[in-house]
Amino acid sequence: MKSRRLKTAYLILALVFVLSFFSGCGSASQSPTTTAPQTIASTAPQTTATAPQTTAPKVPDPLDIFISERWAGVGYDNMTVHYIEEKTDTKWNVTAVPPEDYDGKLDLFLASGERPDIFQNGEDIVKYIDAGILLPLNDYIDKMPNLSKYMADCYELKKDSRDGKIYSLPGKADTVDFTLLYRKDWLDKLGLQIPTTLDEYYNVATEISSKDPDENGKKDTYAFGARGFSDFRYFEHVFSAYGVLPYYNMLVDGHIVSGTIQPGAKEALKFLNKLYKAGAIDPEFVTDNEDRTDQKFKKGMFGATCNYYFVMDTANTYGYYKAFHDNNPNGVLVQGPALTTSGYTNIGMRSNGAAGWINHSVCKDAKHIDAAFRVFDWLATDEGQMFTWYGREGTDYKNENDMVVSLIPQDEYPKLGITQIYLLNDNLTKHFSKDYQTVYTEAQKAKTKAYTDGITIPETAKYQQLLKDYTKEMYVKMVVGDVPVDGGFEDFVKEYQKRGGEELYNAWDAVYQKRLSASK
Amino acid sequence: MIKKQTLGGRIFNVFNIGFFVLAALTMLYPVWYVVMYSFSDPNYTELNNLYLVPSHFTLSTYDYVLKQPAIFTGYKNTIFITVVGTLINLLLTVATAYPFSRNKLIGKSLLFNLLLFTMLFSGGMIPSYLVVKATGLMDKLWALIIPGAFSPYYVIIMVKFIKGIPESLIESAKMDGCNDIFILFRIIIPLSTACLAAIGLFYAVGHWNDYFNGVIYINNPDKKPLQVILNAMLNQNVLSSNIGIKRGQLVTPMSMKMASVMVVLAPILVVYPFLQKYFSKGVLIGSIKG
Amino acid sequence: MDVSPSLYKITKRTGSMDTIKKRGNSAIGRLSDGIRRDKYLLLLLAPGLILTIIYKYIPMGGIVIAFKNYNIFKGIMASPWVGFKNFTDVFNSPDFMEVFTNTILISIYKMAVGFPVPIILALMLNELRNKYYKNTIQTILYLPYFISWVVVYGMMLSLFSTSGGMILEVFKLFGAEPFNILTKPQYFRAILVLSDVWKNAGWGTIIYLAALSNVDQELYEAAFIDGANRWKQLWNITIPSITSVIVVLLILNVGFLLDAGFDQIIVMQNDLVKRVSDIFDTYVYRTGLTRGQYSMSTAIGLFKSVVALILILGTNKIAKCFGEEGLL
Repeated sequence: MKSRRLKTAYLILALVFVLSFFSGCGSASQSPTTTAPQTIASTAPQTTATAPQTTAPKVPDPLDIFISERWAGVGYDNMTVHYIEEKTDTKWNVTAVPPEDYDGKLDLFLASGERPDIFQNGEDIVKYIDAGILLPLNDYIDKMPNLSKYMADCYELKKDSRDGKIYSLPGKADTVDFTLLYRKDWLDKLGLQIPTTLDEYYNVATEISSKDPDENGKKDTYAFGARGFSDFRYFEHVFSAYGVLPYYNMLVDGHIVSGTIQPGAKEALKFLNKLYKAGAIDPEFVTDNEDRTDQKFKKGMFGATCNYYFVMDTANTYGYYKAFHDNNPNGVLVQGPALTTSGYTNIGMRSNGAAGWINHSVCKDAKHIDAAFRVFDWLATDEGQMFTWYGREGTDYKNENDMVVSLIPQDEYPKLGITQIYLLNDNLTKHFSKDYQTVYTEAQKAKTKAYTDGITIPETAKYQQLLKDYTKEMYVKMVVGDVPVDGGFEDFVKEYQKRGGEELYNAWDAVYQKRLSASK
Repeated sequence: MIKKQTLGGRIFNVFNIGFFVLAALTMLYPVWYVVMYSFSDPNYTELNNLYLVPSHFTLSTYDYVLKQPAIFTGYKNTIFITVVGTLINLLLTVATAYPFSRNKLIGKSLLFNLLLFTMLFSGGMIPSYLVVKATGLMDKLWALIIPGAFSPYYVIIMVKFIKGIPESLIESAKMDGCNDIFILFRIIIPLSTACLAAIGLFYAVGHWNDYFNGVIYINNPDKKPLQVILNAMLNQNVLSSNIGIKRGQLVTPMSMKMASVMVVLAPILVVYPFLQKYFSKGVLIGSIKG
Repeated sequence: MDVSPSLYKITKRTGSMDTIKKRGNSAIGRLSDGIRRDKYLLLLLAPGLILTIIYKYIPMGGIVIAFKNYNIFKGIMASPWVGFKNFTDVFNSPDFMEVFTNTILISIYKMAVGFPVPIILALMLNELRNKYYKNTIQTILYLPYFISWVVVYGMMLSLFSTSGGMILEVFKLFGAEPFNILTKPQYFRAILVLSDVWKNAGWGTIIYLAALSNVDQELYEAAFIDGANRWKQLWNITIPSITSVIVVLLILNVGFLLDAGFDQIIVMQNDLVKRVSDIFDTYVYRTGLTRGQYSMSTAIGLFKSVVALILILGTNKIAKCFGEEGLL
């Protein structure tokens, strides 16, 4: 073996070093009793000697699974994995990578010739489809009763790519994350109603930011804040009223177009610019990061904001609910309806899209395809879903008044591996309280349709990020007034198309039309 | 040695001391901020707090961070990589630098360019990965030590330092019949402690903070270095909030960042004073000569 | 083309060896004499060279993918050649010229301020007489180096906040209208440079302090007896004795001109100052230009390496013109 020969070479070299050191001087008067050089010289052979002893014993014929890591540095030799192994008669060999570095590491893994049986992928899936390393799953899904039911439930399109085949199992999470929230206590104090139109919203937003509803004598209340346009969703209540969503693939006259450059977007930007000039948007929205927007929300600085529905989670799962109410003992948050404005139809809130989430694929050359599908099928059962999310019934959780109640402290989850495996991950809401359940359901009602869900085209990798980056910059500039919306928006659209917008959306539309005609 | 101070000298001293007091204050503040923040609950703290004292004191962040079982595995691996890695780095750096510091060496500029070239050009991630895999280092801590066993950058600096050592010392050793390897260990290394301490510090901090190699070459959770574990810990927060599976996680991302800065920095602060004596002025040349 | 003085030297030498060969076996003889003479030195070099060849030169074959459309599933050999397409794609991408100019400007500013500051700090530290005070100050100066940019930026947001940030409160006392300084293009480069110097200058003193500790104390004693004051000692003894280290660090730093501080800028920039702060690395990262496109990232890496090589060899040559020793 090459590495062994190399190590022998190191050893010999190190030996020569030591020998030549001791025979170094002609005169014998120099006795080698000083310790310093000895320790340095002796580290070299040691290093080579210990290296080959650390190879882990291989489990016989395991299912190779390559997934993104759930808990930092926590292995997969735990209750959850063993339980599923037993249920599905499989053995697992899991390689887990921190999510941030997942794509790069997966490429390295595949480039060096490894072909895991099951691996996760995201937007890069088109690369793997084109390379022909993915197994078309259609036939296998049809054979699996639970899996086919799951797919029918969650995935109306049933087709995943340009050739009409399914190459990945979607994580079933086609949900809306954001909802419009108001400070009811502030509205009452200022004698305002929950707005239903944009004009009313403007009135509420400016009153909140100018009338000091928290009565601390400082100008520190705003309708909302954001982190630039890194997350477009903080502005979606305004855009959706104008019938567009930035970066949303919407359907206009039967064709897929970009919401970013529709005329409605221009009106929305004008409106946002007006809000900004009136001081209703936190001016620090340009520089703020996640920590600061969170902190500001918890402090209760925002009174009419589009935000994660889970800030209303009474169980305080995400740490927002309790912090907000502790900081604002009189604070009351309520959900508001979608805003309307004359001449436009509200388009609703962005959906994550079932195919936009972490997907699971199987390699064409996989050695254990049947075993992989046994795992998928079990995980797709109700029992499997509940198990991956809450653990064993009776031991780790119980059902109480239609609500799942955990029987073990959350700290135990990593050790037991609960939620660590989410091969088919569903946004289970069974542990939500009734109030929170209502907020969640309301938020989901506003969901838009994800027209291009599941369509994979190579153009996205080429242009998507580039365009998003450019859009973010120009949107911020138009909102704060560095670039006038009138005229500036038209220039922006031209440049957007030139930078690949046109090509990208033509490609999307072409596949969409093909899919449409195929399903007829 | 007592030196007579001129007026200008005294003014300079006062200015100098004053300047460093000010500079030290601006540089001490961020660490103070980080420590105080890590003991505060930012959920309840005023926005734009200066954190001169902890605000809403809490130990929950450290409780969370230090309860992660992987943190101590991370420490163990990182300490191994740092100690062994730095020793190998230093040995190879000085062994490579010494020949280049000699006036006569066959093929000197060719060999030097060979090294310089690797400082600037690299084949990229995938080929390096394939070579590391082929040499059997995958999933071993050695993968974080051997491939970058020394940096040409520090070799070049080391050469300059070695050249500062009086040639007469080396010549007289040669007259006694000593070979170059003996000279390296008995003269060059003892006389370069200041430089070795400085470069060793750079290497050690590099190993200590190394994240990228750990991600690429290590899959086994028991072999992951500290930075990889800390980073994953910070990111799992972000990821979880995205896919809606974050549960019972009440520590804010920023306070986790603060606590992880302390997790990384504390051992360095403990070790550094022991290193510092090697930077002291002119200890060795005089003593050898005498 | 003669871009590299040292490479030029090699060709010259091999050329002369050819002529020697014609005269007989003396070239081989000289070579084997040299090897025999330097056998211990070569032995010392061997481990480093072997590792360099295995872990640097073998992977370096991968550079060819800069000229290919590399497909990780086909492998390097089977991927098709595309010539300079990857390079032209990068150079033709929108905003490239702007980004390139920014990179060089920010880099030069940072070097102009950030290179001399550690030297001055080290010289000033060297003049501190009290050992404990000096050690304490040294330790404190290194600290900001270990605080990540994310944390530093978080602090800056608090300090510069328009709603109650300390620095702007002070401004207000002097009657200035508060504004978000981090969003002003005219100040942003200065903020980048100053925060960079603040964070890294202390750490940069280490190597100079090590160099200063090697200065022979007898020289100072002799100068003192000759009546030279501290200023003269500084100019005549201290600075000349660390010049070679300064020069070599300058040459090496100039080589990294295209690395203008990714970690800092990716954290600190916002959309209003992007036009003045976007550098090569942040642009490539943010726009996803290299996402999964290994040929493209290798091409960019190669471009940066070539620039670095030219700059290093050029600076080296200039240094030699000024009578300095240069890299070797």
